[in-house]
Amino acid sequence: MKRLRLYLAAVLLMALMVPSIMSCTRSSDDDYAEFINTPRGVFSALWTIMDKHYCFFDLKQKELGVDWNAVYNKYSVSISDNMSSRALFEVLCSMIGELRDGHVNLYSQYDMGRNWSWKTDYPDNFSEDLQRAYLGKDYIIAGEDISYRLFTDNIGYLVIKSFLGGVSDSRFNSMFNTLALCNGLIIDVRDNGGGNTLNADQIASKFTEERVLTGYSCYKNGPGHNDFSDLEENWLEPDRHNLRWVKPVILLTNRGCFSSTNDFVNIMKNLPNVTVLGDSTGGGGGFPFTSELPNGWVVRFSSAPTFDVSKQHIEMGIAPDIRLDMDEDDVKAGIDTYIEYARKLINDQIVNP
Amino acid sequence: MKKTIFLTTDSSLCSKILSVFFCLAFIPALVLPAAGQSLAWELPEHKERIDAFSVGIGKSWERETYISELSYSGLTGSLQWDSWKGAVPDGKSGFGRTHSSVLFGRPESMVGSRILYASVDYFYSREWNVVHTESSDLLLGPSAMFKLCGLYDMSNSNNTATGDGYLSLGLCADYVGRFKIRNYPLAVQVNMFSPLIGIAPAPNYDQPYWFVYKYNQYTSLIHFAWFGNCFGLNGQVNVICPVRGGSIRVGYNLDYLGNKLGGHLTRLTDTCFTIGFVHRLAKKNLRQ
Repeated sequence: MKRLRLYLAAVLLMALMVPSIMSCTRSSDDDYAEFINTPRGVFSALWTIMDKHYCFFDLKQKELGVDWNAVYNKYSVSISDNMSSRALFEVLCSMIGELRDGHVNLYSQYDMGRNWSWKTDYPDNFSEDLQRAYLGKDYIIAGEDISYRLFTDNIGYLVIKSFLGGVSDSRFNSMFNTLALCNGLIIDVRDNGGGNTLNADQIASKFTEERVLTGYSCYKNGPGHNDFSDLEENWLEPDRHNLRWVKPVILLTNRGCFSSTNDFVNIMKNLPNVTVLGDSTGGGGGFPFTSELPNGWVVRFSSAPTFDVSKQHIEMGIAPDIRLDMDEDDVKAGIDTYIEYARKLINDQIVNP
Repeated sequence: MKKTIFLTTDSSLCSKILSVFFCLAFIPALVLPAAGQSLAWELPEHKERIDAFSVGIGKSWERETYISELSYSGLTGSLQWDSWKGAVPDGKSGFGRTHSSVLFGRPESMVGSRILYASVDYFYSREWNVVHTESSDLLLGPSAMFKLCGLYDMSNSNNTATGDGYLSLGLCADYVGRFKIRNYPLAVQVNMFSPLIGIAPAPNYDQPYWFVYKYNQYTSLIHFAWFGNCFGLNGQVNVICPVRGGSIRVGYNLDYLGNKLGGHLTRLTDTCFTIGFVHRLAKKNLRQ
């Protein structure tokens, strides 16, 4: 019996040591301490989450002069514990707005905080009414937010409004069959705000016969501003199981091309049969992560940057091969400058290749 | 420039829970008088098996900084199965011991947002009876342990879900104390599993899962784990009461998993009050 008690005492002692061991690790938990639900706590939480996870601080400092520590000092003075929730939201939106990143958003019961100056500070170079007029009424739907038609001068016109919906291989096969005798294809991704990158990859794979290096990606792997994983090569594989388009392609872009559309343009630009026409894209070259603030507001931020083949960021947008602005007189006359220029390019290539 | 305001650390909460748990579990075993042989719970003989099934309800606390900086807590439900099998002919010195459970919950943060949480585990141990008296047994042995927890926050962008757990070798301890209250035989069972060394899954810091899929980085999710960087504990306290045709088992279960693998904090604590029955399968019914 004495032996049993000794054993039990030993086990009890070991069990009591466990919390002690865990207490010893508490100091290193301070990096993960939770924030309190006060205006200053929420402010600190947002600033710290961004500081640890946002992936473009160096780029934004270089391109926009954003110093994240200076941002803290600038907005910290506006925080007081008796300020209203609405006022706090306004201050926090202004703070993250300094980054001018479309993937940086603050979601609350009031609004979605954003800074879309990457788009709104530039010409639209797009008219939805004109696009609708060019598509006409008898266009064919090739997928969710994907439609096309055949112009009278034997040129195909494909509109991709979003990369959110799934891509149907059979409908793309049908489209390529329908347009098989065309001289070229105009792909209009203007004002396409993105969606699923895998959909963009899948569509792009239908426009190449070869495996093509299209860029690089990495992700944040630590809290430091320069803590990144190794660069991974992005290769575009041809879709060998379905029809592929190898004739000339003119890709129409404007500042409304963002996120997955930005990736799509980055990929397509590397293909020899593709010419990018229009304005620079809006950017959005960082895949977003999400976290939550102590008051329940949700913050989204870029955490995994993508680079082009020259290992340059595509966060600030991708320049077109041919720069073009919409002509206001054309718009008034019901003419889309981009589409007409693209038709001319394709026809000239056919006539004078 | 880092500005943090501390509320609390959840490890201190876990420490308190663990302290209370173990004190409550072992103190009765030390102070209750041994009342001689009883029928409440006996170790299985050779090729005999004892199964215990339980359902439970309790509370869980989750903190996983890969998906959110907030902590979540809420009601959970669980199913458990424990078994003991006599593994050697002498019937006393070797036992096969398994524990498995599934748990599901939808915990909530302090501001009302919710995530989905589920876990599944399976432990197998080979135990030896290091102390055997008329009124008690203490079994110890090595254990092979598998545990996988999933957390899902569908409002997130590319960090919608994460998985935690381990595949480890560890230790198992079972204490059984038999006693009587007014001639009514009862048994107290205290059990503890703890992983010591193995592997554990965890994404790296801000590594998106599409990155893992696209670049075939599956091996980057696997980390070497030992009790210094990945602490796990599964403990149970059960009281077994014989009734007509079998035994009822009423207990309390605690499971804890904590690590910082991949550069983000994981603290998962589950507690459950359980009730179930114990079934002794005679050796003649077992396959030879």
